Amino acid sequence: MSLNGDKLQNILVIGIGNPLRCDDGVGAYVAEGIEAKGLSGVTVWIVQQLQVEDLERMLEFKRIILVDASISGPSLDFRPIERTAGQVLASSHHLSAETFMSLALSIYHKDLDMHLCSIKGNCFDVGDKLSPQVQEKAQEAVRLICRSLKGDK
Amino acid sequence: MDKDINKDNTILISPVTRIEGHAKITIDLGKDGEVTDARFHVNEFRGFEKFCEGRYFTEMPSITPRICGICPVSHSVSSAKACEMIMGIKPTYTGDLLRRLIHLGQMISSHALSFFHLSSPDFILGWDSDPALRNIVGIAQTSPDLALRGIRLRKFGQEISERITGKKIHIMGIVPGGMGSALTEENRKALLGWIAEATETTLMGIDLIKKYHDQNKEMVNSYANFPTLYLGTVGPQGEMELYDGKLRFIDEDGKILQDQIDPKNYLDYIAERSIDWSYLKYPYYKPYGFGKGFYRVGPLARLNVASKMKTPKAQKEFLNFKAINNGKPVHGTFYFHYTRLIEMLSSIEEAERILKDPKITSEDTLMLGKHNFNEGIGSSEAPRGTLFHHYNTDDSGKLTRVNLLIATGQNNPAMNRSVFEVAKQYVHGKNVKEGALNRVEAAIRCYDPCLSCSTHAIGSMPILIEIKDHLGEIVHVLKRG
Repeated sequence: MSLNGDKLQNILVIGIGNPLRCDDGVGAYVAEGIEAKGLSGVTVWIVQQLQVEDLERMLEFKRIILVDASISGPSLDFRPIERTAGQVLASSHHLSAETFMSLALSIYHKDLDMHLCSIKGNCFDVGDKLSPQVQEKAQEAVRLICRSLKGDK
Repeated sequence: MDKDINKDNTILISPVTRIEGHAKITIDLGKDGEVTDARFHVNEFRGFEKFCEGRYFTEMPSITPRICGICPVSHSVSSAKACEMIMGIKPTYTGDLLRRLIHLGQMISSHALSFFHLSSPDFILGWDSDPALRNIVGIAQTSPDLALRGIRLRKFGQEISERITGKKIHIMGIVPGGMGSALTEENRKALLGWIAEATETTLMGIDLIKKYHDQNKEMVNSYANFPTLYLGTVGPQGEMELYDGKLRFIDEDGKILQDQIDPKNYLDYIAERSIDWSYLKYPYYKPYGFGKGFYRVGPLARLNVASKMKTPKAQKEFLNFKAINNGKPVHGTFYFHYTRLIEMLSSIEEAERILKDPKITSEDTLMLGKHNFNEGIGSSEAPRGTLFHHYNTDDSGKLTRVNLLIATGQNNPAMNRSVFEVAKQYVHGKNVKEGALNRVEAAIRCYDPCLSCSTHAIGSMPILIEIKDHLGEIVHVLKRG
């Protein structure tokens, strides 16, 4: 996947998760890795949950890349998020990316361009270290996202 | 909500949505198919009280906000107060003022989400509307202005924390002795800039709920309407107090049972009992004993116990609330929503007053102290009700015992009773429509319970609604998600 043509402007990378629950912290790990590259036009957030009041600020970006741990699926996946009519997560603790996209369209008439980089976690126990396999995939994710940000294939 | 009837003729609803956490409701039917009992089971377990033992007491204002992402400030405030009792110190004037302000911000953000996003889909879209759309996205599609205003109101509440501490959730600036950070003039002005919009949105919400009351009088007044005792915090003149005050208990007729009770003495008035079908305990008013001593906390309780509000706009609305039952306590559970909005109005007014205090930007935010005593108790009014933190330490300051009495736990008996009352009203026989079960769920939503807080929950355990026949067999299951 390439984000060619954006000239590194207005890209938001959001690392999601709890760094104190082992592999759940992989989103933050990857986000920090991208931030360390110092890429121009790339803003990085690290959050534990996506919350509804974040929506207004997210609208300022052309493209949003979410990085999060998954409990199933491939060990590393990077894909656009589709707005679906699936279950809406309506909790004040957390909103899903799909819900954000629906809200943005209904309230602000803006179709958010969101991508998800998910890394399958192995361990979600208490602890601040990633498991070795997940750390390896996280480093691969940093390279993958940075390549796409630079327009490399 | 998916409805699923399996081979055993079992009904399951899963999960109960738009609450904070996961739980299960069981509804028992008699031979005639009418409801004989209903229970709200909380399956989560976390054990915060236990694993905090052995930590140094001053760590608690940083650890306990992690209990909950919705009311971290109340945990931090109660914790800091308990630590201050251990140290024998009081916060500085500005430190105390900043804590009040953050606490009000949390009240605004929590109440805004509860009303506009979790509960309003029932009023605006209808109890029997398509459950796939009966949520915030449905509100955004049908009433985008209302959804936007609800989001921005929550944002204002969160921004108060962020502009003072740098974090909007799990804030770290509240410490024993005051605050670890100050408010800049730039941030003070930015927060004041929100007041007009926040007030307007809250008044819109009040208008919305009052119109709903007018159009649905019978439903509103009959919905889980049962007498209980009430507990809340009040100021010296009986005014509603959210941050710091004394405890007041009233009975079902409004008679004051206890007044101006120092929260340090809470154990003289409140006892808890475990039950075998839930991780959530059953607290009760000790002088009346288990059963007769069940009481409610939270917005409805706070306005029932209060003699007045501290701010003019909220006071005006408070008088309208008091008129509902001619000055007597209002027992209808549905009125939690109305009282939540009145509290939000009061919080915005008080936040404005604090932001205009000349000392709010002072950098004298912190009083230092050390370990002096081996026991500390702190309390505050969390969005969902009265919260107590109680610590015992050894002589080195390490915690030997931690007791956290949480609002949702105190409402547990009443939530069970509410589920029972609403089930009796809307569930007749095993073939129940989704809309009826949504009404049962909504009884829980009135309390806006935070099960993560009240059980200090771990993991993700869904809530179910099961209907059992007179032989105890599950005869109906409705499943969502």
